[in-house]
Amino acid sequence: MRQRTVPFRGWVTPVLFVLPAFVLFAGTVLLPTIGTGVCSFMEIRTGLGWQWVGLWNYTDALFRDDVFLLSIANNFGYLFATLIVEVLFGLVVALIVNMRYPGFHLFRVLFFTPMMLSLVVVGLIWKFVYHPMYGILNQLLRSAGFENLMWPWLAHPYTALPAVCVVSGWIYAGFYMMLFYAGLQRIPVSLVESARIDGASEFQCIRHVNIPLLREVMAVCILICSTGAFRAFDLFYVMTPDGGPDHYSEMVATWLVREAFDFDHLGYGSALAVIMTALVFLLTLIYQIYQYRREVIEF
Amino acid sequence: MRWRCVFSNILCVAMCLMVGCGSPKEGRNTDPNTLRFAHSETGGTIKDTYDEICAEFERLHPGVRVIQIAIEDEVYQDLGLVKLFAGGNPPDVFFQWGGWLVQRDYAAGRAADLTEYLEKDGWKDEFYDYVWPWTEVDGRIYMIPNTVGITTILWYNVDLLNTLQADVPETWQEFVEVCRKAKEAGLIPITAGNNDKWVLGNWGAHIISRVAGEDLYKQTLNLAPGTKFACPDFIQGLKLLQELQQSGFFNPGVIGLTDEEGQMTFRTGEALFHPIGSWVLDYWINEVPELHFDFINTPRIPGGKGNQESILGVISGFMMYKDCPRKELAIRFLRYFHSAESQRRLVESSGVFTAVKAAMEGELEPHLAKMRDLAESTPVLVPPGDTGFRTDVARHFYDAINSVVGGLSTPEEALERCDRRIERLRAHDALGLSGGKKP
Amino acid sequence: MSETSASRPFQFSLPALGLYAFLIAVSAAMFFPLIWMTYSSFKATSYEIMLNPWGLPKDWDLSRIAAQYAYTWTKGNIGTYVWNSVAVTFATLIIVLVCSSMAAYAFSRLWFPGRDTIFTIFLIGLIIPTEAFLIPLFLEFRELNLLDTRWCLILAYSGTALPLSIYILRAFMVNLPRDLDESAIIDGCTSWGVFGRIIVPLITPALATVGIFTALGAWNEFLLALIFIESESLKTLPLGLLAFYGYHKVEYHYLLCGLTITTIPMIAIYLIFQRQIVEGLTAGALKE
Repeated sequence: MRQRTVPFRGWVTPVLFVLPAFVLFAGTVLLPTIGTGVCSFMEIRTGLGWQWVGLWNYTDALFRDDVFLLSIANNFGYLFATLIVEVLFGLVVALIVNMRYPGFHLFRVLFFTPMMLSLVVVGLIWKFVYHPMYGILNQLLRSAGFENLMWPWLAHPYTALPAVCVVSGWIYAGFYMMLFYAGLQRIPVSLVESARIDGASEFQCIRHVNIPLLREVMAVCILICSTGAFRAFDLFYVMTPDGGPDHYSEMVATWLVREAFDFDHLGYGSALAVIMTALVFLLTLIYQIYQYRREVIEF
Repeated sequence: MRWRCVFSNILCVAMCLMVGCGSPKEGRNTDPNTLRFAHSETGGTIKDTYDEICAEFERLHPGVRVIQIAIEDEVYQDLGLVKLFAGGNPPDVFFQWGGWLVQRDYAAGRAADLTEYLEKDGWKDEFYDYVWPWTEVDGRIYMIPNTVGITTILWYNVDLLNTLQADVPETWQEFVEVCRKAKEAGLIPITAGNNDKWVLGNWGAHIISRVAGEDLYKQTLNLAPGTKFACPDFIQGLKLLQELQQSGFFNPGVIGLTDEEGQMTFRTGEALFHPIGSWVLDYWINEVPELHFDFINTPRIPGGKGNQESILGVISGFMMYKDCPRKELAIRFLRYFHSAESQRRLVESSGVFTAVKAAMEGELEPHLAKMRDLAESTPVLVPPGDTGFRTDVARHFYDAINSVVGGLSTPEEALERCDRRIERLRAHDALGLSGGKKP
Repeated sequence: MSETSASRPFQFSLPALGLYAFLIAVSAAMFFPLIWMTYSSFKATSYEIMLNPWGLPKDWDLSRIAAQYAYTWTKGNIGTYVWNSVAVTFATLIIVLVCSSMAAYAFSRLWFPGRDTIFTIFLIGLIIPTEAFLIPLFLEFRELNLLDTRWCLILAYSGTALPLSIYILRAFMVNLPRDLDESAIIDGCTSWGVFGRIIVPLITPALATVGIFTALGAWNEFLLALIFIESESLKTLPLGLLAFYGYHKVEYHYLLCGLTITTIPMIAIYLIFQRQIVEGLTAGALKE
């Protein structure tokens, strides 16, 4: 037990150690986050001032703003899609790479590469892939003789969101693969070896040894992926500006920026930010409860 | 341990140097001889000519520096200019589109009253008369008119029209007929890139104003009480676009291409018509001299309530910042910039349709002369949705047009959706604090 | 990522071949856009790219290609954008490393009233998305007249990188043996001395990890830069590239040059430092 009464001089130095970081963090993240809560009850317009409007922004968002509701639906769609193209695909690749045939570590290194690139760069590159006339995807279809399948991928409500999801998978699958791979490294070799001695096939080893032991990593990955899905902005802003066709690829974040900064509704944008943050916190809370319950059950 | 100290010191010094130099905000402007000039010409010969004019002005006024802040026009209108002022280092002279945006800047306290300067030694008489309504708020002038922008005309490929043995269409029916012929001949009848929504948004707005009448069009976009976007006239107007879309007259991927990508097939001679503004003239005479093109106004729509000779256009120009500390210098610059010689340079190099009369006289590029005559003969200049009215209203309206052009929804659905979104804006305005309200 | 077991010997079997085929197919599909981008940027005009998107460049005139790249670098302002990104990243990196190692030291070794509460507050910072503080931060910087300067980006990037940095460094420091610093204190060393002379040299690997994700985060950040920066001369690389795209919408060859210039060095850096970078970017994720 630490003593609670430390002489004055004793804690000045520690505080000085923390102070720069805390001031910086409080000034740029903490206080503004609280400020968002305050702003969400206001109507704020550049050059026109502030006005208290109570819950108006929230009722507006939840009951009248069809674009916002659509963007939440899109966000959930994006979330589930990324769980598949990022996490699930990452898991599959990690399990394959973990089989350690010669040269497999090379693939592991290669798959992680897109993580280095800025999302803006990736978005612009993929705009070329999806380009309705000169895009390499459509040109591929044309040269393969499927001219009638040529499609304005990013400009059609059916495909705009899935097309961006694919890009998202392109970037992040390698990241989740690395997380799973690191998790697999932690599994004692002896466990797999003994299963193999018991006559388990490769597939059975994966199914009954590796995957159950990856549960914790899986939970983390799902948490990162789902909270990340709600923060999505860059790719959508670059690839489908203005929310894409009829707002079918509008994200909460892109709509927030449009409302707040283009339409100059800073207060309304703050309310959207609060709702979005609440969703992110909710997902984290679910994860924490899951962790807690698991610990209770296991010990 | 010493090297580590030295190293960290070097790092700190280097950091301060890197952050500090490279002119934070291009130097916070306190210099009385440095003029900040914001506009949206980011490239092409117009930008080059701006550079020349500024350099010339600097040469004539030793010690004076003109700093240009060029922001791409799609950004300039909303976030771009707002941020320039919010950033605490506002420009002295800035570009603006006439009409609603001048009123907005006036209401936000950014606009200096220029009436007196214009009345001095007859400066005002150097401009076309029809431009003034666009520059005024309550009878005072807040903008020096610079360019007469015809926001949408239908450019067409003369050679292709001749091969089709078709006449230049005058009415909507004739236009649709020519498009059909072109389609049958394997051409793209109409090419456009509507990814940023203003290209066909503007044209759609013009068609609607022709069908519904200018008054109803303006009232609806100004959110006058009792007006609705999903009214029969607006629906009727968008049905004309829907018909074009359903007949497959637009280029494939029309809503996925940017404006310049949409132009590509026109430049290469694969497409017959291309609806876009007068400003592309600059690009075409300089970059694709082999293209044989001409333009027509939007064809007459029989039965429309609007003036069928109207053109869609906007006067743009330059405003002065209200608290600008070097007003005299700014005015001297603006006068130099709007002198017949400077403007003539823009006319000759880039085919700009300037509001300065003297610069538009004499030998002119034939298309430009045609534009000048069109603007002078027209009884009505209809403001386009995006520069003539509130940006947020325009966005929703143009979204609806885009939706119809892309075949994503019917005119009724699109306009009703637009109405629901506009309803939110009305409710927002009813709260009291509104940037959209008239001052 | 230690290689805990050596790769198994290759045996010719159908499943193994299938796995190779799968991985090769996936990586080919993955890298094709990048490869396409690189060789297409050598094409002379955008027409060549449009008319024959798949084909190789017609000529490989090196001086023309060099001129094309030089044009992109100077006229396209890519040089300025890179320089801005370097400055912002570098400053952020230094601020984060100094502040977070100091704070992590206090959190792991020293005590002051409210220490654990403050640490918990930092932990909450781990899950706050950028959008949650964007608008008031914009208003704050506007009041401070910091909008459209490099400082607003540096401060914001540092603030957002701090929680994870402190978390990782603290976890690392907690595991360091205390004998060294205790003996130093007995020798009369102050906390500052212990921190500077003993702790900092010991945590270099953790600092490298923190440095990598901080630097990459600042290098690639887009949303804050989009909102805070307006001047052409201050735009960072992601923002600048988007502007560059806006100015050269149909000049695909220049656009592809710009993308290639910014992509290839990043990939090269990754391939050289891949072990550290993977560690840096996945750090924290598994420790939560």
